[in-house]
Amino acid sequence: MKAIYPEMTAIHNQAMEPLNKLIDANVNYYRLEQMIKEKREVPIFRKNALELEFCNHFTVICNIFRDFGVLKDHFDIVQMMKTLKIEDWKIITPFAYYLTPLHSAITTVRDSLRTMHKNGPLMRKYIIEKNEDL
Amino acid sequence: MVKKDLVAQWLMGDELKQDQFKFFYDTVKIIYDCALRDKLLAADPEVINYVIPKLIAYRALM
Repeated sequence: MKAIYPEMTAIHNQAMEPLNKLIDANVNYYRLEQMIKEKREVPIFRKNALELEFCNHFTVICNIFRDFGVLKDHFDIVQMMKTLKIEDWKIITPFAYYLTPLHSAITTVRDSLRTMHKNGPLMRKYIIEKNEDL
Repeated sequence: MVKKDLVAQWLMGDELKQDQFKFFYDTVKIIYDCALRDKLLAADPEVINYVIPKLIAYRALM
């Protein structure tokens, strides 16, 4: 399809751009987290910048879900990441009860994004024919 | 994920909420650890409407 329909390819690329950016931002942030886990020296501003980039692209995707999908609840990704940084939340029983499911949910999302990165852009499906708004 | 975040923000969105949530948990745990456990688990109106608010007020003054 990409070789035969350049116009469709352009629409496809434009439609997938926010997701591609989120996937790249997630991978960059994940790699930095791994470096921190390995006790390698990482400037704090770099971590903050990559986290903010991830949050911004994630917010764009959530905005798309809100405007064109079924996501009607309020969301604030920056605040969500900040909440997960509460000190010792894993050992404070009431916090752990509510934050463990949230942590699992965001870990699942980020793992899915990394799987999508691993599989490559050709495996990211977007069926243009099913988009009746185009 | 967003729904779980809503609950988390409602209970732990800022430092004041976190502090109040821990305080409330500790208060309810006192009742849970005493002889009123069964009534608490059964959501007995006397425990819910009188014991918990009074104990919270008392602990807040301590």
